[in-house]
Amino acid sequence: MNEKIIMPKLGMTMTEGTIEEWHKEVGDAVEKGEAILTISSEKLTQEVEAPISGILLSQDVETGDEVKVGEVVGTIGEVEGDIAEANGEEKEAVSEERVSSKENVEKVAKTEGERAKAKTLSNDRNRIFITPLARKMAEDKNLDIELVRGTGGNGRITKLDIKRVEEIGYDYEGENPSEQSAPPAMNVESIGEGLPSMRKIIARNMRESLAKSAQLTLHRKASANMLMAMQQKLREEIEEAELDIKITVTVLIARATILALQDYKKMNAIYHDGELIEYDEVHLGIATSLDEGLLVPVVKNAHHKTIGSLAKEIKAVSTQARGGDADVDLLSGSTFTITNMGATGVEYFTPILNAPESGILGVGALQEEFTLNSNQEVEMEKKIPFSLTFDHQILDGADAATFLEILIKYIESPNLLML
Amino acid sequence: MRKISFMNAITEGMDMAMDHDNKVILIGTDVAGGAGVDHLVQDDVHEDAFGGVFGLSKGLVGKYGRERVIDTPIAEHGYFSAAVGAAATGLRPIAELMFNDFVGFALDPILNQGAKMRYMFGGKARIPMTVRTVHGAGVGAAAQHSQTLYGMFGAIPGVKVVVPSNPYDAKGLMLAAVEDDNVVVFSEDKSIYGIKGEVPEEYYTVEIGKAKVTRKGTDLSIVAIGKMVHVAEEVAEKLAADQVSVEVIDLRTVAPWDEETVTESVKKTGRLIVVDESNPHNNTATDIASVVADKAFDYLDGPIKTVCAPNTPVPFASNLEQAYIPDREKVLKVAAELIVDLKNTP
Amino acid sequence: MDKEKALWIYQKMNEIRYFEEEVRRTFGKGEIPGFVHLYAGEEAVATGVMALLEEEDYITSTHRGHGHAIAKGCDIKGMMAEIMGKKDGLGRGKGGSMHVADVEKGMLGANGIVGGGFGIAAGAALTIKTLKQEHVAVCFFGDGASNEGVFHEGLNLASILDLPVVFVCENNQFGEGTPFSYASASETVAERAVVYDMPGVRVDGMDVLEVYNATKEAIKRAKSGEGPSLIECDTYRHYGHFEGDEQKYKSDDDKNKDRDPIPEFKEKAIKKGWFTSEQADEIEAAAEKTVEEAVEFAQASALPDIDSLYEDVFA
Repeated sequence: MNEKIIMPKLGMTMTEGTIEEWHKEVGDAVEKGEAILTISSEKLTQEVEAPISGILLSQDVETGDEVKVGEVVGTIGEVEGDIAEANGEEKEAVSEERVSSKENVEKVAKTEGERAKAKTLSNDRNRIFITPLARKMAEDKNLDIELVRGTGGNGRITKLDIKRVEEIGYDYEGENPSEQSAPPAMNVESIGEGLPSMRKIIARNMRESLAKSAQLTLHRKASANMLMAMQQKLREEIEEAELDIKITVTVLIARATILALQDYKKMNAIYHDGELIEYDEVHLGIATSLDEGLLVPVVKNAHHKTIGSLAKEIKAVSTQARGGDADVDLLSGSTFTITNMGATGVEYFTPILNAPESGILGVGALQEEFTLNSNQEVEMEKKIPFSLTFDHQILDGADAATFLEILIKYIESPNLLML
Repeated sequence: MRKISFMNAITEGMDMAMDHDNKVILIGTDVAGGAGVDHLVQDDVHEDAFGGVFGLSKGLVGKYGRERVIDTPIAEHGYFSAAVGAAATGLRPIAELMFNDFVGFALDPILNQGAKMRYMFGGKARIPMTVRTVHGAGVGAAAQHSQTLYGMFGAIPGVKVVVPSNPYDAKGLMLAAVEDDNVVVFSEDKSIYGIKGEVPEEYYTVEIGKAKVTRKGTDLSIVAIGKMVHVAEEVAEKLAADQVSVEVIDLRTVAPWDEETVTESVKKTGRLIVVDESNPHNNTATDIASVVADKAFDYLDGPIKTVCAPNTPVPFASNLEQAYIPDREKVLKVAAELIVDLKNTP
Repeated sequence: MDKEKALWIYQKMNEIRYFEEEVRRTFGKGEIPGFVHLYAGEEAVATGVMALLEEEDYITSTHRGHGHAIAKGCDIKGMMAEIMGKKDGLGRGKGGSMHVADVEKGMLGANGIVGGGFGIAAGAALTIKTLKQEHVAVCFFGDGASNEGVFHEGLNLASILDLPVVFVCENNQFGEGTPFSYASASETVAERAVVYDMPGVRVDGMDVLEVYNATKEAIKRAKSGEGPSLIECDTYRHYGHFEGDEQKYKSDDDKNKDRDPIPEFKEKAIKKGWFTSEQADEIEAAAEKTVEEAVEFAQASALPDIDSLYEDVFA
């Protein structure tokens, strides 16, 4: 008996997945539960395990193919003799239903959640004119037409343009194209080559972030005495009330950040596809490290949450991400991100923007310093070092400094966090 | 080889057809001329007989007699019906419609009788009839004597339509039309009657339904009909100076037109302009454009362009008439957008 | 007239009548697509003319053409199958009632275009003349067609070229629903012949003998190279312009309304001794059987193959 391997649904909104890698060749023996291929959706990767023990009879899709959830990607059979049968049967149906990469991109875009909804993508402006012949040639040669300059009538890409690109390379590669509305300035396909799939995705995201924005980091410390005192008091009271809430410094910093973002919306903004959108809502990304890499689960509508519910939520999303069952919904739609390296002892660093956000707040290890108090007495003061990276395309240093100022006001007057 | 004019090639074609087969008759208004005029018919010479308003059938009545070169009253419905009836019963008439603009009077015999009899009668009829007619602006004949209507005939199932562009094709297509067992409209552009070209003296036919590539090229295909083939050649010459290689296709047969030759050319060049003196809608050019857009879509490297007359009757004043007719400049203007990338590339 | 011709006429008259009655029934049952124009009532014209024609002679017919086709010798089974749109029809099911034809039998087609036959008949006569054959072409047309321009063109052309053609007008008093008396400025069609310099006679179209005699004269003239003739047959159609026509335009005063050419001829023939009453019964029974068999044949015939849609557009 044969068992079909299907594209799993990794999350509520996942509609397609990409085949990252086949770990087994046709004809290989596989054990039930053994990883036979790696698939990925927008931000997630997952191993697909063999549903039964047997022989891998067919790989119906190739590495790099986009496949709809629920479609057959391969077949495992208990006996070798079934290879031909399996190959003959299902292939056609699979290839028919498989969506083209273009459709796929559009569909992913639709599932991008809140961010996509807020955006008003102007199709006309981004429309590429290309002749049927040139389009076919580009498809055959696997060229990205967004990187090709059209020299035909009405600026359309013609056969000659494709031939030129074939000979001397993309017109827009490595440049900052001024006429076109921000085509990616790199060949995204080649990034992360040879890396494990999650690293590959991180590699792409980081490279894309750096390529598309002008990043600058400001550093400043805030006094944490009051905040630590408050944390201590809250912990005691929660314990007395026998509530199941753990208030960490990260939670309090998150709360302070949310309030600061609401006061200073310029920092709570997305710049993408030539459009800048400031948000009223705060969807807060919490950078979470895993053994294989880094994920950024998102606390949606964080501005509606009290310290207590924020604490619960941050814990929940981090756990979910670490547990490997994060879906696209959990990992997308943030408007600002916090990354905390406090546990590593690092003081200052330069976080990379979680593109296309405009700011990311890095939190360093808590410091103890001797300072002079108002009475000119030496005092020991707890301090938190902050590293704020912002996109200099849309914000200036003064803007970022203003935001930090507001943030520090909340950190140093933590009773305001109750508001 | 000897060179003769377009009109003499047509006459020679009709002459040879009549010589070849005594069932071929010529029927129409003044095709012989002088019927009933005593001083013109004496001694059966008919030297001074009209021979058609353009003189194309001059001399034929002397050779074949008034039994086979038949002058009719100016009554197209009647004599076109008679030509259909004669064709259905064993003759091979060449019926002349003096100007294609008169088609209103001659249409029923073509549209409802000649074109449909074989089909309606389950394949039992044959209508070997040639309709000789004249189209085209450029001689100041105004709206009722200048229109280009071959596309209208070409829209009728059961009718073939040929439009020669040069003397060689004129003779060969005439002989092929008369040999054909169907209604074949042979449409002549009167403004090129005088052009000369090499024409063999012997009997030969040009295959109906087959276009001819008159100039090989790689960058742009221009399909042209009749006189417009000369326009296409001029355009090709001009563009050759800009290093743009144009392939010119003389359609020769408007119905059924040669899809294979046209689409193969477009598959090679990726670009197409169709030049047709018809009015711009529901014509042969738009038909070709639609078929090519369908069958060669993935080979197209630019939009398909048509260059036609405007959607107006043919005007009389000479400057207006010139503005009406597609010419080299009009085609070049349309071509400009299509080949801009070729010109930009060294 | 000899006995043989009389028997033939009586047979064809009955075949036509049974055929049309059967078509009417079948149409009523919905087995015939489109529409039909019935010839019943006008049998004396078709049979009176066709009794004088040979297979090599040509006729052109009208939308009301079943009677002409039967009298010209078209296969009755093939006709019925054609009218039902079947594969074994004369036109392979692609022509139908209005285009019943058999060129091999000299039947150049019923014609959906009123006046379509004038020129075609003249053309067939032109072939006869050009190829110096001993034949004649007959153009049947209705009183309605006599007011088409091509009536004049056809008659004029035939006359100036001395073509061997006989123009036979079946004046059944109505062009569709409009009385001839209203539609024509001339009192008769026949009188128009004079302007085209040919004989024009008007005969009782309900009397097959009158039709026969007039046609005999016209054919003689045509074959001797003297040119065309025009015969107007005064007749009446028993049914409407097409089946389903309410015929409100008809009235009791209509000329020929109460006449029927078939019993009229039977009575006369028996009186003249051309055939007996018993022979007449036999002919009637045989005609009925012929038509019944045609219906059975047509009903059993398949619909045309879809591929035939594309066939016979060009020779």
